[in-house]
Amino acid sequence: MIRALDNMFEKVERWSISSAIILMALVLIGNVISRLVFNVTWTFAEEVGQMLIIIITFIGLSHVARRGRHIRMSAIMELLPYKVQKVMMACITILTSVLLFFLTYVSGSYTVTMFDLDRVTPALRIPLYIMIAVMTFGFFMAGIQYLRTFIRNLKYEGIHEGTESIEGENE
Amino acid sequence: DSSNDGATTKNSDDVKTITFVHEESPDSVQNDYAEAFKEMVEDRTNGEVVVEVYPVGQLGDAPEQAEQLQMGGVDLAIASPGNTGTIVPENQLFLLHHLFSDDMEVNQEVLKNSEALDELALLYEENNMKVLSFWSQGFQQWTSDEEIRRPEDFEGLRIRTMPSPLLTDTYNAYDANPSPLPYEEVYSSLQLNMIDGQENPYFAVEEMNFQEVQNYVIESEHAIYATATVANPEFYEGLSDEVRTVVDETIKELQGLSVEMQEERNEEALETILESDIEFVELDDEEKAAFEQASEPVIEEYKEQVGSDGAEIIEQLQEEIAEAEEKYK
Amino acid sequence: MIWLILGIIFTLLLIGFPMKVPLIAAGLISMLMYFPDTDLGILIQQYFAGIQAFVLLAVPMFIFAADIMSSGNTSRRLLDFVSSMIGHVRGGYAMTTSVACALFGSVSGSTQATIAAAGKPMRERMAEKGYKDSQSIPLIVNASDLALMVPPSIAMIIYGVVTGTSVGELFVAGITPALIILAMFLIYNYLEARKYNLVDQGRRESWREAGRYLRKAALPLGFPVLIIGGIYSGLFSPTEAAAVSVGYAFLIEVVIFKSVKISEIPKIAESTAIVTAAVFILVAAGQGLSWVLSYAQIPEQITDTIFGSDPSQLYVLFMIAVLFFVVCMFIDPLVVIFVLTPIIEPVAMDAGIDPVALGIIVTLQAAIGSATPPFGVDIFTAIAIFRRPYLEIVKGSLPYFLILGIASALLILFPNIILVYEFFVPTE
Ligand code: NA
Ligand code: NA
Repeated sequence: MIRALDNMFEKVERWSISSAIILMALVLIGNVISRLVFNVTWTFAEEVGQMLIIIITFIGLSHVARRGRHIRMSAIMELLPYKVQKVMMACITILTSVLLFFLTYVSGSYTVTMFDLDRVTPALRIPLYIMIAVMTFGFFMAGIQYLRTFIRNLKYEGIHEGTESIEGENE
Repeated sequence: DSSNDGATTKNSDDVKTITFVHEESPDSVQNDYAEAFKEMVEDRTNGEVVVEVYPVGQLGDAPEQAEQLQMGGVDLAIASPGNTGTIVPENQLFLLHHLFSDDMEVNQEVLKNSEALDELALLYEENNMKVLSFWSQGFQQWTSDEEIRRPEDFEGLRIRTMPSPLLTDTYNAYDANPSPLPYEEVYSSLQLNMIDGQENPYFAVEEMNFQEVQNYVIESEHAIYATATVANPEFYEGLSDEVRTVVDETIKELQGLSVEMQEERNEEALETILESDIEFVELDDEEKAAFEQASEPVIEEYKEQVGSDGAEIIEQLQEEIAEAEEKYK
Repeated sequence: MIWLILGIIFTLLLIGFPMKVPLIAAGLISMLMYFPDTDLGILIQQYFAGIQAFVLLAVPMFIFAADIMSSGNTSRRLLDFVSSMIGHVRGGYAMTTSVACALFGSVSGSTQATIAAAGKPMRERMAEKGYKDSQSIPLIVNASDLALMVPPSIAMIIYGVVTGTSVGELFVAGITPALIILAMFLIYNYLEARKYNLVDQGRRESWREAGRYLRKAALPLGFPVLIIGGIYSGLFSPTEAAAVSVGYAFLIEVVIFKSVKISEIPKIAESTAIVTAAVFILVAAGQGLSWVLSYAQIPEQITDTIFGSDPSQLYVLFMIAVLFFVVCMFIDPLVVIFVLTPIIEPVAMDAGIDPVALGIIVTLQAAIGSATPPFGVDIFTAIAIFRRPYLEIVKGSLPYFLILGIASALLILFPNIILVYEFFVPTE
């Protein structure tokens, strides 16, 4: 059940971030053509682009965590004995998870603040709290991924950086 | 940490620190205003109050600063309607062309005493911003690659505006092609001919060196660059009676002083602008009237867009302006 | 407070936390400790604001274009062309690698994409000619720095965003320094081949043959012309240029050469999104940290300490270069540019340094730092792609650090070298 739910989320994540990239390219190219050929600037292009970048970054945050694809410095850890590495990785994943859940809380309260303040984007008048809600969701999902990675490190052999990859076998 | 750590002063009990943010550079009208406030308040409270001024960029752009004020991270801010139109849509009335007078004395009288603007201030308060004063930084003027004297001259002209739907409507009424662009991108866009013109007071034109990439500077006085000094309400209510009195009096004085501050900055700026290779055009009364007429429908659009509160405010404001114009004729 | 922030960042980095964690934690903890009454939501506001600049959209777009081209045949066509021109000189294969990195850099804005696209095939070709991995991989990692110096460049875009400098001018200004560095690399390639007596030159191709390769490479080579020309003529903004480059890459690889199937595009977009997300979360966190620093009025203290009062231009440039170089050794260079530039910019402007020249020097330090131990991201990219040990890559890099150090010194002493670009561009 949880597996199935997780698989579904994984697909949704992949689908949303890759479509966001493609859509961004289409909107920006469309705007160039519209301006050069018809002399009409799409005032919404900028806002759509900004919305997409929020999706890519924060939904991507969870996806990156899942795949263990973060930028991190592993050189010192690699010099240490396996046991120590395993303990360190467990600490790193659980602390990162706690940090992300805390951010979820802060970001969630900020979403409520934004909801009360009623700010909207200038052209499309999209409420800003929706974009902040996407951030909150991204923090939460990433927190879950790190928690799962922590559990994997406890339950299984090996050093797990994400829920889908094992240290050293990148890609 | 050392005692000169800016952080420690904010929490100390014996000294009250006021954080004051504004939207402009250290070399600007708003900074003159903020620094004058700092000097006067610190002096009048004998060091009991310290004012820390953060010019733009340090804590974020204008809408972000406004939000920080609403959230209480910042105590005082100078917030311009063009940048807070998404928070208090009604305040976009300041962007309307030829709503105010082309006589700054008249405008000053209205900004100081208007009851309509008191109503507008209440709308700010609903959004957790307490308006301490409305004041002006001078007239909006145009710079352009083409000579502009009549609304027809705008046809097809790509003009940069602040991101406000009402401004877009206004320039559409002149058949221009309004392009909302971030302020920082205006110079390079003018240079690359992605746009043909822009509107701003002279001090901003000079500061951004738009004269280098434009052929005409047009004294159109089509709107006032109005702005508001706002406070976080909890901060304001939390001040001791004594300090609040000092703040109130200082703000009142600055409302008067701002007229000279902006005049000085704008006159100096125009001189500098005219030193470069640019042609100066001054619109006469008849030409201004043509723009007033062409932009009139936008006032109706304003009423439609922002609803009944805004409609009442603007009608009352129009009366007040007419009254003041009579008085100064 | 500054020591608390530095302490948190370096401790967490060294332990091996993902890089976003130290940046986020340092901002959060300092807020909780020094400004307990201030709403933490402001940090979220700043994370959000950090990635909202329109010009930043150019970053994922340039990465997307590079990803499409590395999935296709662009890099191979460029390699064949370069090798047909200089492959017969002594050191020709190493030289081909240097030039190919610069050329691929002219279609891509990132060093990582360049390592993958130009480095992978060149390592194999160099190995066939007797180069050891300890020679070829360090060359690839360091020559990839050129990708950041040759337009388009993600580092220059970020510098342009935070300083308001024209990205178009930065792009053009990067070309001269890039050519100087390339020349120094080529000389070293020649000397190295002679020292180890490597017989690595290929046969001299006939002009007809070379012409055939040129024709094949012509479309990708049209790329930089399109981007620079487009931005400079005002046809499009840097962001749009990046999007147009995606369209161009799609046209070349999918429509014309059919080396990438349209069904592969979502997969490529996904990999672009992952790289973008990993970088942008750092930019967001960096913006949050920046805000905390400004709120505590720390930038003034830092600049006062480092630069003193009324410093000379040379001293300012030198200190800025050292600062960026050192910090880029530890933290992703793009984030360093994002956070540090606003702090040092006022000092540099006061000292009369040209903003474009400053941008190029900062970009060069970022590029060098990205390949410098202990944390240079390019080293880790190379480890992931070539599966060679960390130390082997680092050791072989020494000669290149020397070259890049000399190049930096040259630009710092004579910043006017950078400004020669002004002669070649139309001014109004
Ligand atoms: Na490049
Ligand atoms: Na590099």
